[in-house]
Amino acid sequence: MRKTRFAVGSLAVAALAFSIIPAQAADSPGLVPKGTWSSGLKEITIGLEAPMTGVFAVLGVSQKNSMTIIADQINKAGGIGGAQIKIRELDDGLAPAKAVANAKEFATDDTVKMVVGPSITAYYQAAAPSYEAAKKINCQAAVAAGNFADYKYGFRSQDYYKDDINAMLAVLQDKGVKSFGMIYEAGATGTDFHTYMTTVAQQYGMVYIGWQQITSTATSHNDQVAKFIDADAIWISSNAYGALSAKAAKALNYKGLVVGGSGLQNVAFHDAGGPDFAGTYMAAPNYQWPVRDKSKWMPGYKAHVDAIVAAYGINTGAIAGATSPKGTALAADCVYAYAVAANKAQSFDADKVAAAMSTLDIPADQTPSGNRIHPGPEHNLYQADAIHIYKWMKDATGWYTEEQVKDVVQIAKVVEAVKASAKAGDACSKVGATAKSAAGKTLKCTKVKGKLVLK
Amino acid sequence: MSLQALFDGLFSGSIYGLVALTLTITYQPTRIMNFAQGETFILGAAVGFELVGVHKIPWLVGLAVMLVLAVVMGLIMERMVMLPVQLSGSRFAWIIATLAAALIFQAIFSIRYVGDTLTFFPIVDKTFSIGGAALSAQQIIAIVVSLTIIVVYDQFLRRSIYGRAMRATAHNPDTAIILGVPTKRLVVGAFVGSAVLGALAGFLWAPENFVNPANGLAFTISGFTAAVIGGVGSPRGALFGGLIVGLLNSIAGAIFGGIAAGIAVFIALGLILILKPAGLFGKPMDGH
Repeated sequence: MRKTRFAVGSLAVAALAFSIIPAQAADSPGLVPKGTWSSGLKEITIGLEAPMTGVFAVLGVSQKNSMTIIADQINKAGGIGGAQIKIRELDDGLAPAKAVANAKEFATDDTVKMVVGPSITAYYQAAAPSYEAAKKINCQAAVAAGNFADYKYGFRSQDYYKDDINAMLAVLQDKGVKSFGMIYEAGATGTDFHTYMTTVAQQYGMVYIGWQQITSTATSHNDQVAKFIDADAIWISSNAYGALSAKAAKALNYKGLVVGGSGLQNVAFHDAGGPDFAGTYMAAPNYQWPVRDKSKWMPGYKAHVDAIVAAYGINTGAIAGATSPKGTALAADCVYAYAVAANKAQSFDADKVAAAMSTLDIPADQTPSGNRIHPGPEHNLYQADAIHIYKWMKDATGWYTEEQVKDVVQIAKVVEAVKASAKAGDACSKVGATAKSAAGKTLKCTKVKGKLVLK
Repeated sequence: MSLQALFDGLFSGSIYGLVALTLTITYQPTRIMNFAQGETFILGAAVGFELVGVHKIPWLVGLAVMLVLAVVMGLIMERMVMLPVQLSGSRFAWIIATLAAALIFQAIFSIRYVGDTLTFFPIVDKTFSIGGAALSAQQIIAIVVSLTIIVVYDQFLRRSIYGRAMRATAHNPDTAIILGVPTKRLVVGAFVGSAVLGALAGFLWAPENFVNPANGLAFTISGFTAAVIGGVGSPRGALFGGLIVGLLNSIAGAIFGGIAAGIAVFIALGLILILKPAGLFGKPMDGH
């Protein structure tokens, strides 16, 4: 009887786990989307609102490089509905007021059909109402937090932080990690990470020790690492400043695991941690650049990265010799997904394209990032199945990664358990969806004053 | 307070002190606060990154090349700042001129090093563990070199004939000219000297930290804050101001968290301005 119960329980969990991995992809646009319809337009503009100058110029420039590559490829294949894509960028220098003003300028320009940016959750949340009011499709390649189900015209092409945390903690649990702390910038993203880690750590059998806040002006993270010196793992910030945490871990001879998000592909981290950076775990959407056997690369990813390297080159770390391409395929996915959706809708009408974009399901081997694009009602281009856990390694030839196996059944269990501890007033992603409270009460997702909350 | 915070604060404080000193050197004969000074810091980090880091050239050769380029940058910067100031009748011309120079150099560095974080191999790659805290050889070298330069410059101002000429020019340039002091050459020398020391500060800092090529203005602000706390025009003030900024940043950050660090520094700045408007070591004569 007990065995039967266990088997049934396991089957239920397995079914649940597989339910979060969608079935066969429905769309197959190929590496370069082509449309046979005629829009009657000669040219459309896709806007990029990003820091093109200043401390974070690397973000805007990388986004522009990738968007230009895919736009050129689409243009050569006839454009979208016969219209050639023009990429137009507005520089915000990472100044919030300028970012919102630029977003408004794009929102009110009828020739602009889609906008990428502004980056950073808080900036986007300030700009989003303008996009919604003007019915402007927008796709965000550098907005980790926030709920995109709140927006009709907004989509996210970045790994969702909760998916990163679940995937990483599942792997760490397998490695026997019992305790971990986080070193992260003070701010909205750090708060979201902290809150979710506090919620789920116990579900993975771990103690979350807490959050050591840093700022961009800090000259060392030695003190922060020292506070977690006995922890089994430390989650460090993906921002380039997080490299100081890797450096501090090396300086203090930290024995545990250093882990983090997709930003750990930045060569600054390898320079900071030196050879000790080997063994660091990174949660990220598909990133095959360090995989030496290029025949294993996703075809779409390979085509995109090869084009980036040919046109713009690579970044090389001065100390550790790690490299990365000078582009960000996640931004290219925005242009790619928009083109596929517009071709599918055979229109540039924002409502029709947004509806088509929500229902996209493009297999990973065709997209520029090598990730399956299937936004669904959450409007996240990538779902939990797109998150990989990579372990950075180094040998005489250089840096490479080893992919770790994540326990999807365990993740599904935790996600379900978190849902079951939902409280009235919690944010939710789809009208009508239900969640269970700890007391077993069923809460329903309802729109209240424009926001989706459980009631 | 942890020993680690003390070490980190001493390192950053000594570098901020050096940057404050470079601002002081240009300020004395010109009465101009050069907002482009931080760009010389970026030059030092960039040359180290390019030569020592990427091309694996010995750091002594890198240092020599950096010094030559810093002299050139100092000469260019003197023209970029002093020419508009001399040609314009406005007493605010220096603000626009120095900010413009800062933005021009920032753009050049950003274009050349987009996506790069400027860092390179330390001069000595060794870290000591003292009382559980880490102190790297690079940090020790940076602290010793910075403090030595500040002390030597202080003695130069007081004991050498050129130092006296510099002080005379700072006090009254017209009288200094009448007395035969070559003030124009002193101004050029001040720009060149401050560029060299600014670049040296970047060269010492980058192996231990990461320098963003567009972040020169941030180092100017840290140096400026240190100079104001210590007393503008005083090398000793630059030293103590730098140490106060560095230690407060580090210790407040360790005790109260990262956000508190910046607040603590500016509270200290506010208090100093209220209680001792000329700064801790500033005298009205130095400040002139």
